[in-house]
Amino acid sequence: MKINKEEILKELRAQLANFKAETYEAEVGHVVEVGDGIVRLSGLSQVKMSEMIEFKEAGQESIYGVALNLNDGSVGAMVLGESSRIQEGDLAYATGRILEVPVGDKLIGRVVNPLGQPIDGKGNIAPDAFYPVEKIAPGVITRQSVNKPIQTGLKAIDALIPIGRGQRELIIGDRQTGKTAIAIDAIINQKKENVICIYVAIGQKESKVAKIVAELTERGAMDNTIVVLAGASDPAALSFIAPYAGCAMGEYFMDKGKDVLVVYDDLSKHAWSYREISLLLRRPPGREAYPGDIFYLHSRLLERSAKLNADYGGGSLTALPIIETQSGDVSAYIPTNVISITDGQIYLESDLFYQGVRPALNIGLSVSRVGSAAQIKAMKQVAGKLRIDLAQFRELEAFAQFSSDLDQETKNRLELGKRLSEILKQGQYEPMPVANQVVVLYAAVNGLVNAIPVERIKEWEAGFIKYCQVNYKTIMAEIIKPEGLTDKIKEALNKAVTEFNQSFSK
Amino acid sequence: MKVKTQEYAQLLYNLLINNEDKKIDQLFYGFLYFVESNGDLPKIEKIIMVFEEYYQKREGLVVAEVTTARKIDEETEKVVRDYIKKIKPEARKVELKERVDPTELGGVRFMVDDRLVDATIKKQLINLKNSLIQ
Repeated sequence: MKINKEEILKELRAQLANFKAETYEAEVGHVVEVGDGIVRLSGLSQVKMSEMIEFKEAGQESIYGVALNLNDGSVGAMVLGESSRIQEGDLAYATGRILEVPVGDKLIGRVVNPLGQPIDGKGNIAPDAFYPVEKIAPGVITRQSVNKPIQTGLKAIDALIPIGRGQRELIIGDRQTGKTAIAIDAIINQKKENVICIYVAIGQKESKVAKIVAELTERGAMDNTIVVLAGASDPAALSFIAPYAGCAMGEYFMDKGKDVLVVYDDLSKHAWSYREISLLLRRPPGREAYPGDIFYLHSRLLERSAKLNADYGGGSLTALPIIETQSGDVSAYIPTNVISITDGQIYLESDLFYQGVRPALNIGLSVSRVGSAAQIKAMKQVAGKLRIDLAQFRELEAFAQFSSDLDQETKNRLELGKRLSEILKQGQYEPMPVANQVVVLYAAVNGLVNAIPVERIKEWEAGFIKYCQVNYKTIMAEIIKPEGLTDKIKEALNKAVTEFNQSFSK
Repeated sequence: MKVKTQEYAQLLYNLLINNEDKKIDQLFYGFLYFVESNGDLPKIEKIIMVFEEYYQKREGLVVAEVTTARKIDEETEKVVRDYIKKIKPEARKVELKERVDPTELGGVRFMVDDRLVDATIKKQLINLKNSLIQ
């Protein structure tokens, strides 16, 4: 092919015609001190709080910082990136913009850093808009009480600790108790529920996040998920803004009237990164060396989850913050703070985990303060009895250890309790649709499985669900309707269990 | 008695302004002695800095650092001075600190307080390069 000289010249001329020579004016400062991801600047007397500051270097991509301390004569800023490229005496330019991240539909299915830049090697993202990272939460006028459930697909949670859309439910527990597993299962289950999920990894090992992304991709859950990653090797400033950035990305969809689920994994590491930044900025340390505004750090983040009313689009943002405790100490500083902010907590215990109860939920200590209003009617009907039966079982179980001679009534209760506990166990990556949950729990709480040996309950459960799906398709569809479990459905279910049990025992 | 840096600077300003040249040396020694007796001599650098700022503010003096490719000519100087008076209406006197840097190629760049105005050819060429890359 011959390159046409004329055409190139024409193109160049057109481009040059558009270019206007303009005088560049900016507010600038000088770097006085730099180190540990923090810079101290002189000048910049007009800079605003949390305004972006640009550090330019000829021929290289600019580094951005955020003004955090506005002192008399100096400005303290954190650097979002490699602070080693900034030198003492460098010029710093005020941008006039407060920190914002790109948001939009194109982010879905991608892995991005807290600044919204892709890190999955799948090319650039064209944003639909920019949202400020720090934003005041929706006010009273715009809100509505929680009225729709978010189905996690986990029987124990959907039945006993239901979560509503717009709720903030804390997942708390020691390391290795399956906190992330619950959140990931909840994300996988949103595939069919038309909920957009955002997984914010704060200070996590990149290997762990890679594993999660691979798992989500394999199960097709990445099609409605954004992963925001601030890795363990990234500077503390990125970990600090990660949850706010993830929340801003979610708010874009909430404003569009969609439902969003945001998982913050985890806020203990977030608190650490903020402590690090605060101490380097020489803000006075308080309890456990955390700064004085550590409560506000989390309350302003979690307050941004909301259920908007119909006048404001009816969208919702549900938050699942995760807190890691040290050897079961829930009365430490950060756990108590976050417990008091959220609308309930899912409490996981390592003892239960090692006993084989997975998810390792401590049902007695877990609560959901608003979610029960959002449960579907059929689930409410079975869950009420389930809760009482389990509470009685726990009491009797402790008591029964001392005496071997028990009356029939007590024995029955213990047998039922054992089966209920068995039913509530569930494998990882096996979320279950709510109709299936209801039929299994219905059979269990009504004592229809008492004849099945405890070891075979899992096998029975899988078989029974299959049996119902094949033979009672219409009933399964009717369960999730607002009428709940009508007498007609109950009768059909009783019949189904009897029929299946006969074939099962053979 | 605890004296603030700002108060030292004001004291120094009043000493230097309201007295004749002959007495200034003596007064300055007196001032230093006063600072020393308060144990604030390590802060003297900071005091001088604050004093300079205070002095400029009181006298309406604005200092601008001007960089040009060649020695600045009268016409450019006038343009710069007028521009500074426009963005700093409180300025009664403008002092230019001139610097010559041939790599700027042409035009002028100057800094007043923390405001940077860049009208050099170098800057325009960088902008042009960026707009062509896009």
